[in-house]
Amino acid sequence: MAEFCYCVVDVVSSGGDSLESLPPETLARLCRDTLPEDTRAFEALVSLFKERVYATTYRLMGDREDAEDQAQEVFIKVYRGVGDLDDSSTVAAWIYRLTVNTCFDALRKRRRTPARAWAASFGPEEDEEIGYPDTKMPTPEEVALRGELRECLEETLWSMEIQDRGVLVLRDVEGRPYQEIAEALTVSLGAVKMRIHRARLAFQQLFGRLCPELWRPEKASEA
Amino acid sequence: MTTGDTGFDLTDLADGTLTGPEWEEWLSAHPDLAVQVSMARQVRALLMELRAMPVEMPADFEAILMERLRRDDTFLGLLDLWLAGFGRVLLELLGALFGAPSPPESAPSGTGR
Repeated sequence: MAEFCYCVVDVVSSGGDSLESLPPETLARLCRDTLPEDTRAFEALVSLFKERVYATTYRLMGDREDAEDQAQEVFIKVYRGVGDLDDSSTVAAWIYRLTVNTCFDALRKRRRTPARAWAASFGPEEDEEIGYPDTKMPTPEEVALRGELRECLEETLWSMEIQDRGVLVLRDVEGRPYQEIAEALTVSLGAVKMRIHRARLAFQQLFGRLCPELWRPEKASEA
Repeated sequence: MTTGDTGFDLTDLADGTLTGPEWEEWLSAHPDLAVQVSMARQVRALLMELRAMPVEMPADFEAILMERLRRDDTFLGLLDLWLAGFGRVLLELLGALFGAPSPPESAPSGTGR
């Protein structure tokens, strides 16, 4: 089996097709059979997941340096644990769960809301461009407003309790299904929904206080 | 009906998992809860804005990770060697002290896996 997988790695990497184009479950199987001698499949897995993992650690940790540390920690766990993964088709969910749990563990150890280091590292540098999905160039006012909104949203999120911040990041920012969040937090589906609702109300209170100019309450009938 | 009792349904209503005239009617009958659902929808919409805002990866992330893994592997390898050597010395010492037979020589290569 190991010999077969070495051949697959060699064929793929020499045939012009890149390992990154393989589905994650195939990469996980390759990692299982080739690590630690050959790290190419693992590097491809890192390349495939690094942005997703880092975005989650950044949003949960609220600090670039901590986010990088935790993202590194996640991939070290992947490196050590991918060989024991029973079902390689679950690799994406497994990595996501590792990411969330690693951050929650770190946050519990830290036992405080993150330092406001984000303020310094927040958003684009003056000469840095922001990527927008539409092709229309935003006006300087739009850029400023968007920057202000981002700052307010992040400040509010990172001022919240760990659990509240966690469910909002997972559900509303990252759009994860309830079931996955419940599994990551090891609570019931009903408890997750309840927690999400309470966290949203808590967010609204805090956001309204921190950035009153950006909160425009709607009438219930308009929603 | 308290919020605690209905939190489950309110999240479904805010997320649009529960929709339809019967739910709109239910909301009209519970104006205070309708306000909560409206707020929750607004918060959800605001936070979804963050999803579209890119998070920039730190430079050299992969290089740092691979270097760290290489260092860890080297350290673990050395630790393994050291423990194996230490174990052997300990066994020899115990053998000398209590007269236990000395540890067997390593199996000749090719006799097993």
